[in-house]
Amino acid sequence: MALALLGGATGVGHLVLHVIGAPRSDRGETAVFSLALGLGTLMMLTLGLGLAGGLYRPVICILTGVWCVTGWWMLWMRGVADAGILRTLHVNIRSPYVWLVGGATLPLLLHLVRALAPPHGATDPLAYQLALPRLYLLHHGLSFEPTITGALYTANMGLLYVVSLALRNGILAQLMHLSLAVAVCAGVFAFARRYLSWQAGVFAAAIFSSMPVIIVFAPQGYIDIGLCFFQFTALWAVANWAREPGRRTLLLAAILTGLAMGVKPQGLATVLVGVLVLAIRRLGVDRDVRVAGRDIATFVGVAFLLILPWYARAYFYAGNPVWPLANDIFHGLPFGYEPVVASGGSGGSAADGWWHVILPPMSWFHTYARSMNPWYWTFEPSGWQKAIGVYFIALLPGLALVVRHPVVWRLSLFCLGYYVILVRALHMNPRYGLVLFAVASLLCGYVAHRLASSSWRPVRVLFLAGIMVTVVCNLAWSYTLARPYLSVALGSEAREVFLTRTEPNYRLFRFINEETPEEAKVLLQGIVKGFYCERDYLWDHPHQNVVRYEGMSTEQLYAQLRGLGVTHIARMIRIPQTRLSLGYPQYFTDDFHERFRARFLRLVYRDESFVLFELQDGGGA
Amino acid sequence: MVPGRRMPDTHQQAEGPGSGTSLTEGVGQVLILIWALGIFYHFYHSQGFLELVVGIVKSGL
Repeated sequence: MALALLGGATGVGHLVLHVIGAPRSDRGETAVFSLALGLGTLMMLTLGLGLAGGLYRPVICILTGVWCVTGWWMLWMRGVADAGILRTLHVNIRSPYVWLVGGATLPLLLHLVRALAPPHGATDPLAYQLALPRLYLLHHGLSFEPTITGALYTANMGLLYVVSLALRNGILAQLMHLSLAVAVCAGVFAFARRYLSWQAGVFAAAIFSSMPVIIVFAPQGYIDIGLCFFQFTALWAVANWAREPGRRTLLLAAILTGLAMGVKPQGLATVLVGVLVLAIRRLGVDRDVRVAGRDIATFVGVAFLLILPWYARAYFYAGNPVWPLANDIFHGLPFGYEPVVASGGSGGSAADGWWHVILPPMSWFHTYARSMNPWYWTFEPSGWQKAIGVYFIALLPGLALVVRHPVVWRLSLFCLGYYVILVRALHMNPRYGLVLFAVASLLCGYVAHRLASSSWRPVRVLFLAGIMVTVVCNLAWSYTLARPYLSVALGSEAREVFLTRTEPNYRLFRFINEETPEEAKVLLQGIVKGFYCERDYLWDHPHQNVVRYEGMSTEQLYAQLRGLGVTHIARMIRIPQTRLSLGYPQYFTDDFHERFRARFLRLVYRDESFVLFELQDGGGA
Repeated sequence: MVPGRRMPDTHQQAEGPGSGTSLTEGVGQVLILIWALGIFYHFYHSQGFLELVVGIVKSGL
């Protein structure tokens, strides 16, 4: 199914690319751009369907089916013309690059094993990235769930997950995310082949695919590698425009930028980089202010046009196009917590001046020295999302050998600029700025090619031997990660059994799905991951502003819950310390919640970790 | 440039980056090689990868 979608996307994207008419370099670039544009068309179709309230499984299946057949038909037409390329492909078994490709491909197959296990464990996919698409399907449209922080963010990847859930299940969504990791590797290779060398491309793709943050997150239902893919293709198109400016190339870059911006708010950095490149080219090289203004307006206008529906939706529901960000500016629907954009704040008070937003004081650098340091991201990362792997620290110093190459110089400049964006605006979190590491992989790949092709044999041999040892170590780690999932991926363990074993709240939600009426609405107390709940639900957490407890009597709370349509309360029995420190109450030892439970709640389910209550009138006292 | 046609790749290099190594560049390559191999060893040793590989080989997958 995932292959059908990817093939369909490439075919449809090829058609769109033909319509746009931007000059193309080679098959690799065409294929990567086609995939991005094709997935973009599916996202836009689903967006339209979602806004029109048409997210019904049969409708999605028919729409995706027609889209897929169109794409495969295009691919078939194109494939006949391109089939000859396979006959010209010569594989030399003695080439180290063949072994490198093999060593980098095997871990991807092991990631496939993990992606074939049902979604479980990780919080974000089961609370947001996969949970929201499931709610959209329940409501047959892009509904608004005000207790979930990112409910109104731009979410193009979420639209792909809506299609995945409608066609099959969460596994298909995970496969789509993993496929985009492979697509980034293909893109990195194709870009390097065009601008640096194909050998650098092999190294670069292997380096990117072996980043721990990719290994850990690619087979799960996150969206960050999707963001990386669309950002990479967008910036690639911008680079093509900068080299050979043209109206059609600009249109292609703008469309891909719009798609990247629509994946998640962090994608907005793409348009910033694009505008900078356009300005530098038009003002610095062409020295034409009028054309610069026209091109930038076209680029920004087309890019924002693609995310306008998302902003309009957010404004319609919450009075703030970027809710809950910048809520003090737009005065949107109140939310208990406003996500911070600048990492670690500006580092000074407002009185210190606006320049502190760009250049924080020294104390700020002292405070966040470890959080922003690639050395610590390599050796002591605080979590997998910051684990970038070994190659960047090992190989980037080698840029001193190759920095005179104009493409290397420009890519290095991009990396420096995007690193500043990552540190200042993306929470110093490499997972939010993977495109930086995709580009840095290109630089590492070129340095690696330099060492691997050294005219001094000992350098060549020692370096390749060292690289192959690292490839074996990466493979061993990927195998260790995949081994626990072999049984469920190969079908020897049933998915139900696997989920019962690995996902603590699965049995609770299975009970809810089987035993409560279709129109039931559940309030989740202390439970974060709602993905497996196939009933409408509210998420009770300290930052939501929908269910209020302050100054309430138990009768008023009952009336409030009834007013919200709540019929059941699912509760974690013992709230862990980490959540208590966030402000969750320990419901069963809290006097108010206990009085409410005794009077208005009837126990209908219990296991060792969770309970389900039915809301009933005060006769239960 | 005709839309849809192939663009020439002026940046595509005809030869590998390692050709024609000068003495300075050779010394640079050796230094980078020592640095890279040292970092590889430090990383994979400190993170327990080497033991992991040995463990997998011993357990016969």
